Amino acid sequence: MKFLLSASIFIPIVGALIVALLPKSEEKWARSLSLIVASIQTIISVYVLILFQKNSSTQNGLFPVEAFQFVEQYNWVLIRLGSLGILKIEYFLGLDGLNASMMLLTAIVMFVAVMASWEIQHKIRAYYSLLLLTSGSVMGCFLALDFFLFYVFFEFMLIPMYFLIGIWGGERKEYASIKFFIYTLLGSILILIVMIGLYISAIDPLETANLLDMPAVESQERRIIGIQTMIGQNLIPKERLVHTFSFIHLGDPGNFIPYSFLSLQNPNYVMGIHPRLFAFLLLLVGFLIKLPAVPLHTWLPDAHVEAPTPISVVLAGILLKIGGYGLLRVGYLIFPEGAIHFAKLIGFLGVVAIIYAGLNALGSKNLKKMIAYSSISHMGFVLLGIASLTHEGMNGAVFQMFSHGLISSMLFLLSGVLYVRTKDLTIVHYSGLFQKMPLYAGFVAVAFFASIGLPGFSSFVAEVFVFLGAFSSNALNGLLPAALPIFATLGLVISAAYYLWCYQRMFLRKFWTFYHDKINSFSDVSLLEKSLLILLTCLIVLYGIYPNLHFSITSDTLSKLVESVSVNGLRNYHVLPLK
Amino acid sequence: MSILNWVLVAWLFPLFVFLLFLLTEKYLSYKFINFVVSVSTLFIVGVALYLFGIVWGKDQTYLSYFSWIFFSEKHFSFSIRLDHYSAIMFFLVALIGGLVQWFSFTYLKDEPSYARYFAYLSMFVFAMLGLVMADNLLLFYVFWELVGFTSYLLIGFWSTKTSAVRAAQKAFLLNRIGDTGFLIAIITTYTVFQTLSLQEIAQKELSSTSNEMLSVIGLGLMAGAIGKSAQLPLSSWLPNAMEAPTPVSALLHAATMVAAGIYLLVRTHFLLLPFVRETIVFVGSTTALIAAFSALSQTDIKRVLAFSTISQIGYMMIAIGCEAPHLAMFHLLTHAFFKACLFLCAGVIISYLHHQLPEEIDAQDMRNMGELYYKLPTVFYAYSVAMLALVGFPFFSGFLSKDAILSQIVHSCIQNPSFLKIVCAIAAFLTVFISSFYMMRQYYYVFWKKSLFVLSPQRQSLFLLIPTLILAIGSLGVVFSPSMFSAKSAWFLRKFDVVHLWSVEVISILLSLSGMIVGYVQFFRRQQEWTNFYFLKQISLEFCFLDRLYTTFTRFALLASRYLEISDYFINQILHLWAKSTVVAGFLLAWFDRTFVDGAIKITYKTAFFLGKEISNIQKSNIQVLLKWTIALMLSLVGLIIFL
Repeated sequence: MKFLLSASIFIPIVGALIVALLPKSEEKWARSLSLIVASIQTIISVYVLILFQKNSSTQNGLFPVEAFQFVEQYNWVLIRLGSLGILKIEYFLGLDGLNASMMLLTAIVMFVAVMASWEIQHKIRAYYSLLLLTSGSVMGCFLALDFFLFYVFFEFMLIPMYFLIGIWGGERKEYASIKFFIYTLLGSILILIVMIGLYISAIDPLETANLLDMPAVESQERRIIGIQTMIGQNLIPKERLVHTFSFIHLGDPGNFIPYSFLSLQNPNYVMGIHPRLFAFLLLLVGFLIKLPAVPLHTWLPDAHVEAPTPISVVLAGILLKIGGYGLLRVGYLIFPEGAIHFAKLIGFLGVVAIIYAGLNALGSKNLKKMIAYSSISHMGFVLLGIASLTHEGMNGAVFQMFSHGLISSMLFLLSGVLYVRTKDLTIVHYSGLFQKMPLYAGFVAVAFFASIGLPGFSSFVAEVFVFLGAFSSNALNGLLPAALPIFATLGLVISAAYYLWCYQRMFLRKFWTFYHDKINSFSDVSLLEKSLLILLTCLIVLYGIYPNLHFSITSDTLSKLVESVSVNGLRNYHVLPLK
Repeated sequence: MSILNWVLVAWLFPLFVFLLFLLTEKYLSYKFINFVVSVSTLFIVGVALYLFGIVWGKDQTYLSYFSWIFFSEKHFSFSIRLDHYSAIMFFLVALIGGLVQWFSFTYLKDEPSYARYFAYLSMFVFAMLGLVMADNLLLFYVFWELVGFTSYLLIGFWSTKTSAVRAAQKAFLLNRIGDTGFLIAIITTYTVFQTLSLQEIAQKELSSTSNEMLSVIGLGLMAGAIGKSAQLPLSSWLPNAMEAPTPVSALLHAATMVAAGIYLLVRTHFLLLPFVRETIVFVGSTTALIAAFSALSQTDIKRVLAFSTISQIGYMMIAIGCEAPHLAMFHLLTHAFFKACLFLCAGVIISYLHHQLPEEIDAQDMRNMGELYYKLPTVFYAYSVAMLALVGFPFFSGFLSKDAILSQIVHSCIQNPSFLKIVCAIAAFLTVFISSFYMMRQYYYVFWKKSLFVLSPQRQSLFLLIPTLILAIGSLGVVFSPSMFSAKSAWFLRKFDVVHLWSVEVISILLSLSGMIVGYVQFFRRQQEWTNFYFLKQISLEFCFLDRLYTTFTRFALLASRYLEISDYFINQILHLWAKSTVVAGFLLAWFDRTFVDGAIKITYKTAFFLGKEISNIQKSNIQVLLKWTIALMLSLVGLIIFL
């Protein structure tokens, strides 16, 4: 019971090792073993979520440690570094409303990806072991509450993804994979810079108190306050300060050593802005590459077009969400003043992504590329919702991440169905597929309309709430100008335009194809494909009709997040020394 | 069971039918489908009657809530409101929906996707019933979108036909533009009132709200209504929507769905500021006039009716703008009957001609019709009744509602005259004349003109005729009001003060009569088109070139999207440049490394090697070498001394 979160991370990793070590003659086991692992992961996630939901209103996350559920907290590294203080890295996992739904999404999407890997025929042991590694590290990334641990998983995820695109990809796989790698690595470096800055600036008051042998009679809060006053008065020698990476301690500006690099009091400006705001900006860029936001997005269309179907599913389904999640967990909670200061920028980038990527999707000639651009466009809503810092916007944004995870998985699965049959996804090479593959066309219609945001599908609720939040932000906290959401509504028209146009060209009208010799290969969806598509359809509709299934998990934490970021952000913002 | 539960069951029934038909499409027989649809429609009509009786008979209003979405102390409830308007709309959708479905039994008998057709129709009924009951704007928007979606499905029902598919897409996109306005109105409403329940908003004090916000709300709602109700400038989808099967046109694109925009404005009319109302009047009267004008030149029987629908909905817009939502509802009601009747007549005619004429002849083209008054006598009578209702002839339903609206706009012109309003009123009167003129034209072409083909009489199925006749009966004035000349005594309006101006009545009768007479002279006697000017005719035929405008805009958008790729290309080029320069820098560094860093080491070891070799030579005790070294040392010593 206690190690459920660890289990969901390490079962896939152990599974990956086992799959990798299978002898060549037992290769066939790789598939079923991976499926078993993915199923176990899904079962654990669902079980954890059911347990989580019971207490989600009282234990609503973010801070302190007690507000998390399923906490696993152990010291991983504790070294004395002389005048640099004591380095402390924890193995610290926990669940709150912010990552709970992401955990479920990861499990579902990984399950779908493993199931959808039937088309992979060569080097299957390596393939499945890398896929499981990805699964474990993504899960770890979502569940980690220690920045260092988060970063380890965040970085580690790149390696299997690089190989998965680079080995099993399409024609330009080398280009796509190296582009993906370099882009994301650049983001990671920016995040790493902030992490180092945080390390030298912040301390863990509890551990410091322990090492100072403070009287144990006092309550935890009092000990924290005591230590914070002591560092404020410079009473503790540098060698005895315990530096930390824990998100919980980093979120409290009192834990920053006064006048240290990332403390509120630091009077030195970096390139014209305060170091804390600068750090937020670095994090923003780092996570926006992952999200991705325009103009940091050009790796995504290439990666998607070249990646094999299940990898596209993983990429769009969960990897992009790490960008949004990271921005909230790391950026917003550690530097709330950045959220206030850059709200307009974030909202603006969101709207730019919605419209720019939407228009690009309209101009795409390749089905998968169109879906990739639509992914960018829909992740723009996440940015817009987050930037608004309202309950509606934040709930909408996180729900949009979840919903987009399901819908984009379905869209990429569908593009894969056609790809295995003809090896070509050029839109104008097909017409009237409805006649040859009616069921397939039906599923495509469902997925397209779900992505357009038709009521009854999850994205509708998400997008409406993003709009509600983004618009009311102007009246509530004045962060976003009202023009932003009004411009963003244009995205709704554009998304309807590119999906309907594509559907009209590929699926309706009379049957025709560029490949006269392949007319017989247009068989309708197989049983496996059908069952996966039905599963996703059901989930999308279920969450669309009853979105409380998601809100009941996340809303308490997100309320707290909105409150604390707004309050702390404004407070910190006014404390920052003027230039 | 309480009425509410009955209504909910009746509402969910078509959804169930939709799922059943769609999932088991291949296995259903013709008879089974008809049976299920009949039971479903009968049940819904029964419940609708029951509801109608209770709400209108006993003057009761029902409200029901259940929580749908809630987080952070914010609730978005699934709230249903059953009042006079929703009861009458419920009844209308149920009745006309039922009639149209019965009509379709025969009309679409040979359709391979028969089950899918009824699945879509049931989905429409479900969405439309949800829309009329919704009390929450968010819920309203949900069903609003679903209705648009089913319209897309039904317009594109014959998916192999390129024109149908294009029309469906166009309808959805133009609607979507209007919906964007509606969505903006919703988010603004939410920001202002912190709730989306119309019930709660109605109780709030509007005077404390800023005019800016209210104008955004009003214009947004208007945009939504313009999209859905095919008003200018978003109206050009409706004529194209005639690609749908004719019963669908009768139900969606004449009677119910296109009226949803009006229904929205009726529900939210208390949020509309005076200047928004005036804009609505302007939009409505312009649309009424231009659409009527466009109906003059159409040759497709259904397109004439489509333009007529747009024009009639313009009247409803005028009513809303003149603070008379009850009149808009009244006209909606009467219009639903006579327009659905006209469409079903057109359906019978088309199916009849389709069987009689050769394949390649367009059965919808009025020029290929003629002499149908004795070939299809029942249709002829039904059509005549509905036509008289449409042109506003006394004793027929359209007269009552149209006249009331005209009286209302004149009344409001008298009360607070403005130039715009007077122009709008004139346009509205002019439309009366043009309406009867183009209807005479159609009447002539369809029933009286000499036919170009030899047509044999054919018995029409009762399934086709009975719904048509029922709707024709619904177009009689008696159904709505015991008095033939005034809407004052209409049961629908008994609670409202209806302005009734005799002068307006006389003018409108004269206008419609003169329109008919002029039409009679022009078409029946002189047998000519209404104009010979090419340009004028082209404007009318192409609906003021609205489509060309849209096409140009779409081309531009597509072009822009193609060129956007270039900006991505630039981003990539920067990236490539960066990557390449990194690699070049790497090569340079490697060269530096080889030449200088490695070179330095090489020099060191070469020197050492050289020195070692030289020194080892000393050991060989060669006299010349020793001499060389001695001299070298001496010279360097001397040099050192001199230098120091």
